[in-house]
Amino acid sequence: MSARNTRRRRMLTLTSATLTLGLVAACSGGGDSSSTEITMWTFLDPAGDSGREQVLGDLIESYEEANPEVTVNVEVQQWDTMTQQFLAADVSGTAPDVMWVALDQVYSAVQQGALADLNSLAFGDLPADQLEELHDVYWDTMETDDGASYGVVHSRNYFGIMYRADLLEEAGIDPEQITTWDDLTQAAEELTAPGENRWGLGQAFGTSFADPQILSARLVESQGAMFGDDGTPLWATDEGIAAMEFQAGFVTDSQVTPDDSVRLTAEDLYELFSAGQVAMINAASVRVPTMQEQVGAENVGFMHYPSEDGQNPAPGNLAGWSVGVWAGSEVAEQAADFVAYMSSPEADEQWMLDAQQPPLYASTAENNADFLADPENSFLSVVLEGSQEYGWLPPTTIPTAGWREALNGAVQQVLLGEADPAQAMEAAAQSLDHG
Amino acid sequence: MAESLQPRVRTRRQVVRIVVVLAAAVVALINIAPVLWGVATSVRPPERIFAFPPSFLVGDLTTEHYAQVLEGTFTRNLANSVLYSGVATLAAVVLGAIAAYAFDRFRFPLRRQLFGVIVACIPLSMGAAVLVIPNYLYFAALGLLDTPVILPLLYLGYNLPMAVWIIKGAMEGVPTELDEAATLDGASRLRTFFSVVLPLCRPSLGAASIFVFIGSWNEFVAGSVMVNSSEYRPVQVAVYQFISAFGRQWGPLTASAVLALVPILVLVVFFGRYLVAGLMRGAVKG
Amino acid sequence: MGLVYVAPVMLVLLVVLILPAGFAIYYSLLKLQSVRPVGFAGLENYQRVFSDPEMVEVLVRTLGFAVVTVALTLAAALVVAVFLDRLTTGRATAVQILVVLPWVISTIVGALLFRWFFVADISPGVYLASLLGLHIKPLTDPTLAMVTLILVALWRTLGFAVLILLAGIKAIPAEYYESATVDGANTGQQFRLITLPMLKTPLVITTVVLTMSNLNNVEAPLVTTGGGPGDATQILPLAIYQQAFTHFDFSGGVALASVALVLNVGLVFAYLRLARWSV
Repeated sequence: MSARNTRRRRMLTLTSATLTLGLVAACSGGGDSSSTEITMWTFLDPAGDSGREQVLGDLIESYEEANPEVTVNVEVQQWDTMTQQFLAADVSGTAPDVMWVALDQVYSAVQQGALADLNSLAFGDLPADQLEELHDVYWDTMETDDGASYGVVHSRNYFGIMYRADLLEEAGIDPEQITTWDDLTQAAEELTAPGENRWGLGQAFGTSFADPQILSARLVESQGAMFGDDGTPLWATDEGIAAMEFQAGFVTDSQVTPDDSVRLTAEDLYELFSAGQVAMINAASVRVPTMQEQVGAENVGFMHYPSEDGQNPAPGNLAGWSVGVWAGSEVAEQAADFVAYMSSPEADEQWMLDAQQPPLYASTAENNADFLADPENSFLSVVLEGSQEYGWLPPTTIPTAGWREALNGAVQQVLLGEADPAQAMEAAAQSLDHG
Repeated sequence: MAESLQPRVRTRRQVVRIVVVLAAAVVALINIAPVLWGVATSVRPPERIFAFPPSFLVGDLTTEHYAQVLEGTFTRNLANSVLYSGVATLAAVVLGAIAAYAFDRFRFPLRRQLFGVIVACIPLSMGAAVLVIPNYLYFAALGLLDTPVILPLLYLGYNLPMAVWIIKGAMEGVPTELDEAATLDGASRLRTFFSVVLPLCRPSLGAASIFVFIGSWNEFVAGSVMVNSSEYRPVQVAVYQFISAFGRQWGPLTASAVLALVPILVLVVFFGRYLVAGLMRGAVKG
Repeated sequence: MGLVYVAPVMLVLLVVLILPAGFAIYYSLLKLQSVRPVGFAGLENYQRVFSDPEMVEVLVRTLGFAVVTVALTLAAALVVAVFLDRLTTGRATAVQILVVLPWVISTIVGALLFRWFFVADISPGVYLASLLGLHIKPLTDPTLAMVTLILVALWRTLGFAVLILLAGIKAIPAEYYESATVDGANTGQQFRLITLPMLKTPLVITTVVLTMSNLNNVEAPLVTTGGGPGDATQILPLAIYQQAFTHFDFSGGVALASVALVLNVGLVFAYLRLARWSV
C-alpha cells in the first residue's frame, strides 16, 4: 500500500474515532487481477441519446472489446457539483478511477493531491508525434513546472460571438467583415431595433454560473495576462479599468446591449437568442449545436472575438472538462490507459464526426476537411484555432475559482452606478483574493 | 333574518360575494399559472417552446419529451423515490407515534429536554443542505454512501421531528380517561396505545404521513450527493439532470417534473382531507 | 419506561442530524487544503469569513428578508385560510389543492417554473404585463429583485402555512363564535378576540417552520436571482453556498454554515420562549 493510501486510512480512522462511531470504511478490495473495473464520473450518460453520450457509449464498448478483462462503469453525476463531490470522495477514499473535473477546479483537485500525473502513467508511453500534437494551449497551460499533467481536456469550449446569420443578412452585414471592436459595435448598432424588441449584442452579467465576458478577452488582449504568477488578479490596473470602461460602454454609450443584462444569466441569454430578441451574443461554442436545433442550422454562426487592430482575434476564453485519473485509484495504470484511448486520434475523429465536438488534434481536422467545410460544422474550426493559437485558458496552477462571478459582479456594480470602474475592479480583485 | 333585510342590502351582499369569489379565482390562477405553464411546455414541440410572444393556444402537441424522459433510467428513479419515501414515511409514523405517545403520556427523566432536542432538530434538518461536504465525509465514514439505505435513513431523520410534533399534538386531544379505562380493564400500556389511542389519531397519522412523504419526495441535495450510481438515484435528481452542462432542456425538464408531480398530486387529491383534519386535533391546545 | 419509547427516534436523530452537525462544527475548526484536513485551524476560518465587511450587510439583509417574507406569508395564509373555512367541504378541498400545489413541488422545479412564467424576458407574465402597458423587468432593479425573491418564497410556502392555519381555525369550537354573536361582536371583533388568540399554537408552528425554511433555502435564491443584481438579493444561505461552491473555500463555507446552524437553533428556542410555548 502506498504512503498516500496509508495516510488516507489514518485520516479515516481519525475521523471515525472523533465521532466515536468505531466504524471504519474499508478500502475497496483490489479484487483478483483477471478482471478490472474502472469507475468513471462524468455528466454524460453513455445510455443517453445525444451525440456526445452515444460516442462515449461506443468508445466504452470498443475499449471493453479490445480489453476483455476490463469493464468501464460510468456513474453519471450532476455537472455543477460533481467536482466538489469528487474532492470529498477523495478524502473519504471513495472516489472514482476516472474523473471529469471542471477546469476552474483543477487547481483545487491538484492541490489536494486528488489527481494522478498522467505523464507518469500511460501517457508517458504514447507515440512522440501524437504527444507533440496534443501540445496546444490546453496542454501547455495544464502542465506544471515539474512536467506533470493532470488531465486531458475534453468537451472543449471556446468563447466568442454567436450570431443570427439570418438577421445579419437581413441587415446587410457580413460577419467576415467584423474584425475590430469598432466593427462589432457598429454592426450591433445597426442590428439594434428597439421598436421590434431586438438588441444588437446580448450579454449576461448575472452571477450564478457566470460566463466569461468580452471584458476578460479585452483585458487579456491589452495586458497579456489576467493573473500574476502568484495568482493575484491583475484587474485594478490601467488596462483592467480601460477594459471595464469598454465593457460598460456597450450598455451606456453605444447602447447595443440592454441595461437589464445586469441580471441575465447565460441561460436567459441563449433563450433570448433562440427567441430572436438578440442578433449577436457573447457565447460558448458548446451551445452552437443546441441553438442550431432550435432556430435552424443555417441561421446560427459563431466567430472569434474581433480585436483592437483587426489582425488576430482577441483571446477568447477556453474552457472544458479535464479528464484525469484519481490519485488513490488501485487501477490507475488501466484508468490512464482508458483516458488515453478516449483521447486518441481515432476517438477524436469519432467525437468530432458523430458528436460535433471540437477536435483535440489538428490532424483530425485536416483529414476531415469536407466535414468542417459544411457550414453547420464550421464553428469547430473556429474552436480549433482558438485552442491552437488565439485562445486564453485561465491558469490551473493558481487558485482562480470564482473569477468570472467576481468580474460579472464588478460589471453589475458599474452598470448599476454603485461604483466607478476603478473601484469595481479593485473590489472584485480583493474579493477573489481572500475568497 | 334574511326576510327582514332590505333588497338593496341583499344585492350588495351578492356583489361582495361575487367579487370575493372572483378575487379568489384570480389568486388561485396566479398561484398555479407557473405549474400550468410547465405542463403546457412539456407538450410543446421544441421549436415552439421559446416562441415570443408566447402562445396561450393549444397548438400541435407532442409527446416526444415524455418519450425521451421515459427512455432512460427515469422510471427506475421514480420507483426508487416511491420506495425511499414509502419506507421513510412508514418508519417515521411508527417511530414518531410511539415517541409522541411517551412524550404525551409518560413522565420520565429528561422528558422536556429530549423534546427540546426534537424541536432543535427542525432547524438542523433544514440546514443540512449547506453542510453537504462534512455530511458527505461523515456518512462515508459510516460506510453508508452509495447504498440503498442512506437516502431512506436521511429522509426519515429530516422529517421525523415534524412527524413527532404533529402526532403529539393529536394525542394531546385524546382524553387520558380513555387510557385509564383501558388500563382498568387490564390492557397493557402497549395494547392501550395500539387499540385505543392510535385509532383515534388516525387522521393525524395520515397528515404526518403526507408531510413526510412530500418532504422525502422533494429532497434534492442529499439525493444528488450521497448516491453515485443511477440505480439508487431518486426522482428529483433525475429531473435536475435535464438542466445539463449544455443548457436547460425545457421540454424534457418540464415533462419529467410533471411525471414527478403525479404521485404527489394523487396523494394530495385522495388523502388531502386528512391534512387539515389530521392537524386539527390538538392544534389549538399547545 | 418512557425513555425506551423515545429511544428509536432519538437514535435516528442522533445519527442523522446531531452527530453530523457536531462533525461539521469540528470540521470548521480544521485547516483544509480544499476538502482535505491538514491540521487544526482554531477559529481562523471564522475570522477570515467574518472579517469580510460584506458579511454584516448579508446578515442584515437576510434578517430583513426573513422577517418580511414570514410576516407576509402568515398574513396571506390567514386570509386564505379564513376564506377556505367558509366554503363548503367540496369546494374547499378543490381550492385547497390549488393553494397547496406550489408547496408540493420540489423547490428547484418550483422556482424554475416561477421564473419561467413570471420573470424571464420571454415569459408569459412579462408579456401580459407589457400588453397592459407595464414594461417591467423585475430583476433589473435591486428593490424589485428583492420583492421578486420574497414573492417566490411566499408562493413556495403559502400552501404549508394555509394548511396549518386552516386546521387551527377548524379546531376552534363553533360555540365560541355563537356566543360572541349573541353578545353582539361583529366579524372583525370575532377574528381579533377569538380566532387570533386561539390560533396561537398553529401560528407558532408556522412561524418557526417558515423562518427556518427561508433562512436555509438555497435553491430559491440561486434559481431566481442568483444574489443579484449587485448584491441586492445576496442572503445567508446563498452566501454559504457560493463560499463553498463558487469560490471553493470549503473551510469558510463550513464556518459560515456552522454559525448559521447555531443561530437557527438559538432562534427557534428564543422564539418558543417568547411565545411562552411549552412542551
